[in-house]
Amino acid sequence: MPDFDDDPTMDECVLAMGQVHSFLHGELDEETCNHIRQHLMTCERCLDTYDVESLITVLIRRCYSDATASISLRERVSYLHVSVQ
Amino acid sequence: MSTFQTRLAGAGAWLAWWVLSYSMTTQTVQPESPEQRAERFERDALAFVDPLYGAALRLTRNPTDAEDLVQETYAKAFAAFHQFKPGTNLKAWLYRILTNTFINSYRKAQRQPSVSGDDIEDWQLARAAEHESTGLKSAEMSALEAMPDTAVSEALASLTPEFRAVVLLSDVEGFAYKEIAEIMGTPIGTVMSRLNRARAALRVKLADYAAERGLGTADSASGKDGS
Repeated sequence: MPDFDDDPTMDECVLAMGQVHSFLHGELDEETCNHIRQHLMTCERCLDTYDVESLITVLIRRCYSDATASISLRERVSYLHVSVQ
Repeated sequence: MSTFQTRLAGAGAWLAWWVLSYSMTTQTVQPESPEQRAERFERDALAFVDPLYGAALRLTRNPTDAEDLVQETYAKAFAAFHQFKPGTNLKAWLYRILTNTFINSYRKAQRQPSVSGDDIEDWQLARAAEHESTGLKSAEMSALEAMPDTAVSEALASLTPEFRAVVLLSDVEGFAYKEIAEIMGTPIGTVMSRLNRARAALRVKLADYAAERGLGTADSASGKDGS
């Protein structure tokens, strides 16, 4: 765990926003998440960045709906191993 | 002497047990026949045809190319299925073949040298940093909210295949970074830096799109002196 408070050389904003994607993707442990949440409550600039990044994720997901393989593709793939044998 | 005989008998019993258990072990790990392997392939791997087709469609943006990519993926997967370790992540293994096949065929089609794209987008990072300092976040938010899906998929399509793949694998397919590292055959650190760079590039593209069309507030269009 990085110590956020005791290292004056580390900029809180840089630390929090350097991990914004890991935070968004649920890659961080609970302690780090809590620290980022606390920082977001006190720093409007970082909160804006976080809002933009999470909106971009929403936009990316929104432009794709679940696709279903056609019957012909399913058949081609299913009979693949029959023809290989 | 009797102690020796006892020991000998003990060793004999142990040997008999070892031979028996060894023969049982060899029986259980007997290599499966090609037919059994084909059956296992059909049972396990074919369950992923819909998600793989979806992923292929997002990468290629074209149903015909997507079907070809899925078919090639399954052909390669079937040929290499004896190398797949049962009980490990089959979905990630299939996505790895799909992603590599896509990146390689994309490179061939573009006749580009095999560059990862990790170090060619610095100007885009610089542009992203510029955006940070303009402090137009709320304007950027309203511009992004008004963004049509076509603009987002165009922006994604403009990324290098590695960058596009990493964004799709994390944001759309929902893989953990560890799995993406496995799929792309890179360390987790590379996954994270590619993701950062890809998202910075996307943000610049989307902001440019918004500025060109005057999306969001007036500030979002005039606040950029964009090149």
